[in-house]
Amino acid sequence: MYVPLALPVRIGGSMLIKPSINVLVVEDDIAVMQKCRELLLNEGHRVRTAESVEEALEIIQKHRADVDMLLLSLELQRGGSMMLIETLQKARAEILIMAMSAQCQEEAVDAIHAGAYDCIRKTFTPARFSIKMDRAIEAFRLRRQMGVIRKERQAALTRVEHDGNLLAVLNSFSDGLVVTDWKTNVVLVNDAAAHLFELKGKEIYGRPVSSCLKSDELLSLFVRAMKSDSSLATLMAGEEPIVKASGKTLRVHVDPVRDDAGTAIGAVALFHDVTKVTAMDKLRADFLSMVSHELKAPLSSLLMQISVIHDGLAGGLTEKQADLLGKAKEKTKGMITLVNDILDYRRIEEGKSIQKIETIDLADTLGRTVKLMGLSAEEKQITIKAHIADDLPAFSGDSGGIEAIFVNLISNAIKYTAKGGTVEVSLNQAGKDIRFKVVDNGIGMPQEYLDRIFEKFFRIKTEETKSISGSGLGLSIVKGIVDAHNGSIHVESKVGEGTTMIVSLPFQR
Amino acid sequence: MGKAAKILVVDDDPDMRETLQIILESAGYTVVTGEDGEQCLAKLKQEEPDLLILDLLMPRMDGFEVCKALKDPRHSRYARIPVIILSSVQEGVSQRRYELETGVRMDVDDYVEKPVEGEVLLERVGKIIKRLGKGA
Repeated sequence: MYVPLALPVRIGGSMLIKPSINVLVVEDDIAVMQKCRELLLNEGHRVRTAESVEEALEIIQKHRADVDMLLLSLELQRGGSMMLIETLQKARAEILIMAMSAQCQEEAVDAIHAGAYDCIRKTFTPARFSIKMDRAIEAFRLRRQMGVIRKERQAALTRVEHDGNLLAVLNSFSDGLVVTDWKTNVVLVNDAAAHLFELKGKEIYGRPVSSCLKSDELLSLFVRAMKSDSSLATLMAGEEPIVKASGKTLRVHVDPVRDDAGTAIGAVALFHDVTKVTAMDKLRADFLSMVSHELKAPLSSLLMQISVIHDGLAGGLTEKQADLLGKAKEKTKGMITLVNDILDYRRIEEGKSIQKIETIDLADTLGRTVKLMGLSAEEKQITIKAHIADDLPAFSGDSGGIEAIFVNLISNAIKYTAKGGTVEVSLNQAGKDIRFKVVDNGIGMPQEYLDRIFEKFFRIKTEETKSISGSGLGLSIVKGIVDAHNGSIHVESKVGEGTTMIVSLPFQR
Repeated sequence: MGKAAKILVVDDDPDMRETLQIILESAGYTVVTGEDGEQCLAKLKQEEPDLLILDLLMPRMDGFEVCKALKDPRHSRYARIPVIILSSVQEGVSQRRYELETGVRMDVDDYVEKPVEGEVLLERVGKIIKRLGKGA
């Protein structure tokens, strides 16, 4: 009989080149077995045969990688077919099982329940055999693909567990190490991390990382690490959030774990104890503030004393004395400016970190601020109009920071508006955000400066602004606080017409 | 010319007191001084000044507490006295923040930031004294 090898077959009008697979036929009825064998070889597949379950198992064990599909009779004299199906299922052998029986009735249903893919009647015609096999092979290929992907992803990460030496090294770190798979389930935790987060032994493996570390922020870090393409990764590189655990302050860094193809298959987080460092930083920062405050008073006194003499209020001055004192005065002013700058810098730093989160009544806070600013507005005969919505949702944030935003923006509006002008302040809800808007009809700003105004110490220097005092820190302070609350600030301005500042803050952090 | 206005200057820094006194006296005002909140209240009673220039940060009893005390009915006689606050904190944000933070509503007439130019101080003082209808 002519037996062609892999051949193109017409199915329903279209041509199909079929792949060849390795089939193991388990059948003790020789006639049926031979029929199967012939048909399979005809299709170009590779065939092995076994007459019993024991033989079949032997072959599978010996040629693990070489058995793709099983053509299994459910009517073996020595039985055991169901057991074979169950065993292969349990072992996750990923061998596709096509059952065979005389009638394909209840025994077929049982077989499929146990894990077989389908059942074919032994009275099949070649055409029928072909159709059934094609379907099975397609299913097999799809499963294989999925299995490969799954294996690839799991392999790299779970392998770490089994390498004893590597584990010993990881457990010697004083930094905490937590590794997750691509589903953010924990795959590896070293001793330091287990200690930090009070995790007991192996019970955390396989569980979602959020349940172990009890922090939504950390979970989002892990997820972002794995989603990262290069641009997001760069963004994340700068983020080293601080978390607290077991009374310690920890800095976290999360990176994606990639396979050779570059696919993210998990994430690894390193937790570094910065408790002492943070405490020292705070001490240093507080010391800096304290010293600056302490310097300010005597410097102020000094400047005033020099001024009084310089102004002739303590007796007449020779030209030479006046000249020297004038210079001394300028030097002293310089020192005071420096001290003020240090204190302002500290204010920005503090503003960047949220001191305390509490529920704030924004309408009330803004109302009081507007009243307070009324004093300085009056001096310039400027009208402040306030439109505060009365149905604002609850807002949680740093109350000192929010007040600073209000005060700074309104103060700027007043400063940069001429006598008789108007400042309109509004506060309302815009979607998921609270929106605070300050509109003035003052001197405005040239377009080219608009993206620089939030820089520290930046001030626009024109004829008009020469006489307006300020350190140039107000807006950078505001920006720091807005960012800390995950909000945004937007500015529009036209020279000679005025400026509009819009701050949006989400009311759910 | 009318009686010259009397100004009470309260600050814990003796150099500041001396300097302010020189500036104010050069403009013809009469000056009396105190070094903390307690002395402030005592001198208010004793001297009955027309204007109070008050430092905020002082030991024993500070400027905030003086403002609070002035609202007390026991001191109602002096409740009306105009007050200029000497603030050692930068004007603008922090100044107003004092009030917001402490919740103390300070019914004061003016804020002046240290160090203050002689001219500026005299201008601010002059405005208030004028309102009182007194000369210098």
